[in-house]
Amino acid sequence: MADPVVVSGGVPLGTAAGIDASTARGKRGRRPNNYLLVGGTLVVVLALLSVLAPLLAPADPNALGSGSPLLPLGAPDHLLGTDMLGRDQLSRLLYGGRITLLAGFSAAILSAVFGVLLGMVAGFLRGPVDSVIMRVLDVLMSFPFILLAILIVAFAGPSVFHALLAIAIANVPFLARVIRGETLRVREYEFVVAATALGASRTWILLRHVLPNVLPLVLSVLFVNVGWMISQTSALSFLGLGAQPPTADWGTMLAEAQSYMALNGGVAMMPGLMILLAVVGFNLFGLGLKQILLPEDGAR
Amino acid sequence: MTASDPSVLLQVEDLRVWFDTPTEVVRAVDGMNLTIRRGETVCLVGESGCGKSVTGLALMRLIDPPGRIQEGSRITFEGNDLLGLSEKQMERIRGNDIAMVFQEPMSSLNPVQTVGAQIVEAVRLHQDVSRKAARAQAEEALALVGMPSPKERMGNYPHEMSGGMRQRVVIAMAIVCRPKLLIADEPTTALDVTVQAQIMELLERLQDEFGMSLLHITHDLGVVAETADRVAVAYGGRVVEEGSAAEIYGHPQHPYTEALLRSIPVLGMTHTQHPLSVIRGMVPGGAHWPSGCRFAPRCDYSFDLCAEYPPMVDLSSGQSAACWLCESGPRSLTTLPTAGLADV
Repeated sequence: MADPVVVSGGVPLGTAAGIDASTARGKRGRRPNNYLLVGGTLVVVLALLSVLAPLLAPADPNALGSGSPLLPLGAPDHLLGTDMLGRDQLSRLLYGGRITLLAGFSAAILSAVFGVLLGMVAGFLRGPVDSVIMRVLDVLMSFPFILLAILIVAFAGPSVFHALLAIAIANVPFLARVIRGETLRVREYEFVVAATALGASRTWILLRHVLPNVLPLVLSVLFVNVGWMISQTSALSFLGLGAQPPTADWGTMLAEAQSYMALNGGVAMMPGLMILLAVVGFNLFGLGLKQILLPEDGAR
Repeated sequence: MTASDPSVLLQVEDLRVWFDTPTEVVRAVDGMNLTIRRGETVCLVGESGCGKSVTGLALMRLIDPPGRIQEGSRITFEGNDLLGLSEKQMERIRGNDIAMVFQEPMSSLNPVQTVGAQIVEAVRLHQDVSRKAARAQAEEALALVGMPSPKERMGNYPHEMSGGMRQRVVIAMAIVCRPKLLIADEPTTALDVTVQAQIMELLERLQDEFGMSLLHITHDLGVVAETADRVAVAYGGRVVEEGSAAEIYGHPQHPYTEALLRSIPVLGMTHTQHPLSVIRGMVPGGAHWPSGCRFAPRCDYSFDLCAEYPPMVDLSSGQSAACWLCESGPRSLTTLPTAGLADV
């Protein structure tokens, strides 16, 4: 481990577990983190648009013929035009965002909960428990997530929930691996032995000492994952395995727009753009969080 | 002396801690015997690799695989066989009856919790008391270890403190449940010399106040001289010589102890009178102990008998040594430059 770091104020700071705030305070804290700023803005704006969709949407997203079909971008009364059934694109995008963002976020949380649990237990206990957990996850990892999703949907029927479940399950191994690695690092710190020497049980140490020290990594990975899972849920919806018509989500909107792209590019462009913005926004936000919470790893 | 002797707090008999590596078995501790009485300070000294830290961890049963405490080892604490206890029973003893202070105060505190929370945790692991009562005990413990304005310090994070202050916090955590035995593994090694003295004084004061026993594991013979009631010198995973500080410093019997003492510079010694000597060679390491006396290859006195391991011979007044030279009684030595150290 690195020597104790001294910042300009002369305060020695602990270096354990990457919570060392010296670089964050010394360098990055003074100027705003651009990743965090851009990513955060995108995330907040998208979240607000989704939450406020009922107030902002000019029309019912599923009302047929609220305008002529396939109106171009900037048409009067329909700012973003209409789709092939004459539904207002802006309203559909706003309502679609609610489903897409919520699905991505839920999938990320769900996979984080199981990934953190399994990764921490495996990394902390090591030995046979570690081997069994990690080999099972390796098997899961070798499944393409689309295949897994098709399997689940085949049994349970297509829905957004089943799609996000499939994605959450498929992503558990990746998170578990990262958290296992971090747990292996944290468990070697002397304060873990010191806690044992004070009479703490293993469960207690895992919850009180290991978890708080892996949490910064969990948070940053979680947000990067939200972006990644938005693109995955959209992919499943695009394939018809997610949200079912007439419900709008960005993936299904993109799928429906396929045949009409030549007539009106806007119908495909806008949902695609929204997915792009969401993925980029969450990725940047996660990256920025990582730089602030884990300054030592920030350069990677 | 037997385990039933009520003055004996902890007795270690034939402790063997071996580590399995893919190619060999490292016998880090191999036949360690140690007795700690109530209220006394025992210093376990030796150079790196002699098994002193592993002994400390083994007493708390903190040996992780690939390390194993071998069959036949016995650790008796207040008449209870520690090696026979379940993990749950052991958790109740750790921190409550036997506590430990580690070498590195930088890393033995959790960086994301306030020091107050960590001391409170130490209380609540063993006592079913309210948060408030635990806080009061924690503050009292901080005051006991000489922390200025303990109430305010409770809310500090470890990184806001200096090394010496952090070590005080670690000690506060260790003594907050009033253990009967405190194991201090090189508690001052990572600290400045001035702070070292303060921490040693603190440990002595706490020991007097609570009547607890102290097992002080160190390689610093200067610190030993000032604090120890009894000194146990370890080499090759065993105790090779034991006695009071005055005996060990005045007339060491084992050649290893003698060689250690001859290698400490003492203020005022001159090159011509007392040339500083070194112990030749290195500790062979736990996988390659020689079959006989483990110090023989580095010993200036070694002779044919040394091919067999010497038994521990009791000499005058509690001093004992494991060396064939002492078999027929204490050997006489030219006066060592360190002879006066223990009287200070």
